Parts: sequence; structure tokens; C-alpha cells
Amino acid sequence: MSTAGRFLATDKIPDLLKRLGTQYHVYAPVQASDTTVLFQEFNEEAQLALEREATLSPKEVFFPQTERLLTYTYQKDAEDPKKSSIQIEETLEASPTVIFGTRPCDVRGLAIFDMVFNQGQWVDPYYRARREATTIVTILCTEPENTCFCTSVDGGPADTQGSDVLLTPVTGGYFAEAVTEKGDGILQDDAFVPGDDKAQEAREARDKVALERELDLARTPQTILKLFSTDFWEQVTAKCISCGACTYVCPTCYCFNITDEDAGLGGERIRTWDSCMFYHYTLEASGHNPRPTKAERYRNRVGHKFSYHPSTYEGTFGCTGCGRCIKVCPVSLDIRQILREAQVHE
Amino acid sequence: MAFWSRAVTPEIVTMLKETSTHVVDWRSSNVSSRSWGSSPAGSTIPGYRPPREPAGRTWLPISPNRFTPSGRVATLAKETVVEILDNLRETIQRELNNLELVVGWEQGYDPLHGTPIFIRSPEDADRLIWSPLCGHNLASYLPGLKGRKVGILVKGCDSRSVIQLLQEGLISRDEIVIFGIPCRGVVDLTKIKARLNVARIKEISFDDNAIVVETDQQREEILLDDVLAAKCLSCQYPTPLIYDHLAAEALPSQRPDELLYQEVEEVEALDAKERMAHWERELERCIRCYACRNACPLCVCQDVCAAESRNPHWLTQRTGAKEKAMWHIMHALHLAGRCTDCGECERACPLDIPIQRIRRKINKEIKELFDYEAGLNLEDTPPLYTFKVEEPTIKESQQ
Repeated sequence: MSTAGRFLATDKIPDLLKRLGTQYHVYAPVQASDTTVLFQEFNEEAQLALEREATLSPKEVFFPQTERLLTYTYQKDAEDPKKSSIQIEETLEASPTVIFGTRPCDVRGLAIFDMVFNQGQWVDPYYRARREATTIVTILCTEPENTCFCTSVDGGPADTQGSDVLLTPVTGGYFAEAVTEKGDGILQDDAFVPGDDKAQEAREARDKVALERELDLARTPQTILKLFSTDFWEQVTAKCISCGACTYVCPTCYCFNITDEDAGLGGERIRTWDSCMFYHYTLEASGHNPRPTKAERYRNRVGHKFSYHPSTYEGTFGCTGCGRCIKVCPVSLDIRQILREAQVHE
Repeated sequence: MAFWSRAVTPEIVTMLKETSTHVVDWRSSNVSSRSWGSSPAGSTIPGYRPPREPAGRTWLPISPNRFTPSGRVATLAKETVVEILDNLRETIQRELNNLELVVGWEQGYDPLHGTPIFIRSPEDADRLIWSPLCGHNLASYLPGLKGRKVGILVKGCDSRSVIQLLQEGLISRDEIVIFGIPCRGVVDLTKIKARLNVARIKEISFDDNAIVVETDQQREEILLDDVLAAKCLSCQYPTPLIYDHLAAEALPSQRPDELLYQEVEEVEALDAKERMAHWERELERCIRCYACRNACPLCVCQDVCAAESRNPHWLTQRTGAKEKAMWHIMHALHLAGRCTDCGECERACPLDIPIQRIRRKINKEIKELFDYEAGLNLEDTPPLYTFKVEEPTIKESQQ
């Protein structure tokens, strides 16, 4: 789609989101506390926070931390109490949704989710239904943070992949362009006005954004395999406390657990986020655990993102360089530093 | 990077001296030759005396001079920091002959972040830093290092975790060498983040009582007291209570203890509905990542934590505010009488939830019920680990 660019004034955004709210569930980054920004369903009281990267990625919208997959009810046979039957009801919920104010790295995270959940032989119906029902409005980054490294993993602050509408910050608001037909639909709202006079400024803003590619990861997938059985991992993860913060804020981490939550003769089957940094993640029924310490667990985290994922999915890293894992880490463990240390062993 | 750019002025020293007879003039003390080295049992540290019978290498500091004249608390002079670091490095390098590693702090990925460092060689020791960014309680690593001979750097508050771990037999005294550092407070990064966008921070420097943060867009000078961790504003134990080496002269407490439970009292003052609303609002952000648990030095169940146990399935994996509250209450109760108020849980939280309040509330109850504070004396037993027919502080038993 290449309709002419439109202009969206900053002060028109709350009204736009309110109007969109009549047709869609609208998620936007809002100030959830003094220091945290979360993608939440927009309402009039919400304080929008579009200027900085949200604390969590918007993956929650497509892949909720807790999701009901089905409900079940056992029914006892009145004639023979030893017999019972079970009724199962699938509970797939997906309604038209707009996510406003994502960043290119967030959307790239969805492209990686798509490879796993929405393509190939096995498709996750829950994810697919939400993904297809969602329109994504992305704000291009003009000010990369200290922790940003999207260009090192083949992304970029002006990456358009996966978005339906692109917003480029310009004086007084945003220069808006539709990337898909879905996006074009959003641009029909009255909040968007002709923006030809802003096109030049938007182009310049985009050209100006520079984020140096700080890591050369060409040989990293092989290097990680080479280091698999060495004490490298114990050395570089010494300060890791093996919590799940890095995986839960990550826009590409998609691991989950499924549990049945019984309540009397019925219950529900839920899917919840799980983390490869947890001991229980690989604990086997026998009691054996193939990843007994944080060294093996962190090796899996780095290995999956920078070796196994690219080898399965045509060279695409399982990382978007958003830097959230670095920012939230209680001990400031920097995944870039580990990749650099690995390069020494190339 | 400008660092501790202003020394402690003679005026401040005079001010401190006038207010108390127990204040140490650290400027005039020759740290390297006098106060450095193993602390012999029974040695007199100015302003401190053993609480009862001297217990091993532990001292309970009595703080006769709790004062905050006009909110101004001096931080260490630049020269003193340099001296502390020089001495620490030298001693660590010497001790490394007998130790596998020493855990300390180094500069992290940007000027705002300190990060733990595992020093294994004399060269590693050169990366050591000492500043208000050294907030991490390194004692959290000790249970995981059990069985290995290691050294650890502790601030006053961190030393209480070490005592608590020793008390419970979770670590062995003969396996660790403790490098103590008298501390004047560490910053709470959440408080800095609340004041300005630090995503593009370029430089940070510390003054006697201020911190200067420079980003690509602004330069802000903040009063250190405004961004110190809550625990520091009511700190009663700036000097480690247990150590093998002390990096500088002991410091007496300069903070009023009335502030200790201020936050808790604020929440207590709310009526039940408001309190519930407060916690629902705060805990809604929790993502059950267990950073609070894993950062906690006293959370020693770790891999077998009941919160994650699938069999038995103690806790649902759901993530509603109630389930999250359940986790935090469980954490706090498991720490009853053991929590040393180090604040690692809250510091570690990626969503900046004020969860230390929940732990502090339990600490307050323990203090009122049993007149007990954790991590002060090696010989103590946490009140819930023992049984007394008559609890002197519980009225019921006297009726």
C-alpha cells in the first residue's frame, strides 16, 4: 500500500484511540506507575507514554500470560458411580484489536512468533486468531537507548516489517503511512489529515536515525555450538540469579506451560508463560534434570536465540535487540557482553 | 567520569563532631595502616560496643548519634573512596591466594548501573568499584557457593544477611572471607528513573550530598537523600556487623530509626478497601518472574520453591492479582523473623513494585511480638524457629 502520507497531531491521539475503541480493543503504552510503561487497554484516564520503549513487550496481547484453552466438566453416571463422562468446551477468544505505539523491535518479535506459532506444519489456533484480528500501528525510533542493539540482529530503528501503519515522529505529531490494507483502514479516521508538508521532515528524521551495528554475529551460531560443553557458560553466568525476568520481558520468548486447574468435578486447562531460566522447566518426571544449574539454563537461552533458532528458521535470530533483558536484569547481566565473550572463541 | 568530585569539607566534620562525640574523622585517619586488617575480637571501634557477650566476630553497634541536621548527610570523600578501593584491591589480591573467587561490584553496561563481579585473578580486582551504585546484596550468592572458599564484599546491611545465613547453618564461616565496607547509602535506581529518562544516560557523578546525572538531553543535580534507597534513610548499621577485613574506619549510624516503618504505617493507615485497592493496583504489574525470590539472600528453597511446585500443585499458575498477592504473602511469611530488610526483592523487581513493604510489615510484627530483628547476632535463633513457654513480649502469656 502506498497511499499518500497523513499527519496525526499528538493532541488528537486520545480521541483517535477513543473512537477506535468503539470498533476494536485498543492497546497502547500507558504509564502504569511512575517508572513503568505497559501495553494496556486504553481508557480515558490512561496516561499515554509514547516517547519511550514500554517496560514489557506487547506480546501479552497475542500470547497472554494466562490463557484458558478449554473448560471441562466430569459427569458421574447416576446408575454406575464408577463411570463418568467428560464434557469439554474450547474457549478461543479473539476480537478485533488495534495495538497503537509499538516499536519496530516489538513487531519484529511478532514475526519471530509467527515462524513458530503461525507457519509450517503446526499452527497455534489461539495465537493465529489473535494475530489475524490485530492491526499494528508502529512508531519508528528516533532515539535508540543505551541498551538498544536491533541493528546487530538484522533489525533497525526504522524497520517496517510486520506493521500495518508506520508513524514517524515529526514536529507536533507523527507522519503516518499505511503499509497494509488493514492499516489503510485506520488512516481513514478524521484524526489523520493530509500530511504532504511533513513528508520531507519525516524522511529526514528517518535518515538521521543511526544505530551502529555493534555486534558481528555471523559466526556466532557455530561458536555457541563449539562452546556447548565448555565451562564458558559457568564463567559468564556467575552473577545470573536465574530468575525469569529476562524471558518474561522478551518480545520473542514464547515458552509456556499447560496445567489443569481442577475445581470439584470440573476445571479449566490453562496455558501460562514459562521460562527456561527456571529449574522446573526441564525437570523430568523421573526427577532427573538435564539443566540442573543456571549455566545450562542460560546456555539454552543464548543458544536458542543465537544458534538453534537461526539454524531452524533460515538464519533469523530469536532476538530483536530491544534490550529489555539488559534493562530489567537485577544484576545487569548484558547479553551483548556474553556474545562478545563468545566471539573471542571463534 | 567525574567521581566524588567534592571532598568532605572541614565544616562538615566540625558539624558532625559538634553533634556527637562518637563521630570518626575519616579524613585524618590513615586507613591503610590502622583500620585495615583482621578485626580482633573485643577491639574498640569508636562509637560501638558489643551488645552483650561478644559473640564470635559479631558486634552490635549502638548508635548514640541519630541525627540528620537539615537532611544533610555527608558521603565519603573522594580520597577516602580511592583509599578504600586501593586497600580492597590489595587485600583481595592477597587473599586470592587462598580463595577461589571474591564477589564484589564493577561498572555495568552504562554509567548508571553497577553490577556484581566474580574476581578470580589479581587483574579482575582492578575492575572493582565502590560507589552508591553498589546496591546489590552479594550475600545472595553465598548459599550457591557453599563448599567453595570464597570472599565477599559487604555493606552494613548485607552483613546482616551473612549473619542470618550463618545463624541458620546455610553457609560455613570457615569457607568465607568477609571484606566489610562502612557505607553511607546506595541509590534506588527507581527513584532516579522517576525523575528523568535515563535511557540515554551519558554520565553520572557523586558529590557529598548530591548526584549529577547527565543524559544526551539534560543535566540534573539531585539531592542524594532524595534518591537513596528507603533502607538507607533509616539505616542503623552502616558498618558491617561481621567482617574479617574492614575497608575504612567504622561509621556510626546517622539516621533516625523512626523512619524504619514509615512506609508500612502509611499503608496500615488506609482502610481495608483502600489497602486492597493499593495492592491490587501494584501487584497487577507483577509477572511472577520470581526476581524477588531469586535475589533474596534468605530465599534458600530456590529450585524447590512451593510457588512453582507442580506436584503437589500448591499454587495455581494463574496470574491474577490474587494469585500474585498469594505469592508475595507466602514469600514474606517464609521470611518472618529472618528478613534483614536488605531490600533486594524490591530492587530486583523489573516492574518496580514496592514489595519490600510487605516484608517490612512482617518485620514490624516480629519486632512488636518478639522484640527481635534478624541478622544482628550469630548466637540468636529466629523466633519462629524456637519455642518459649513464656514469651516476655506477648501479654497473653502473662494473664
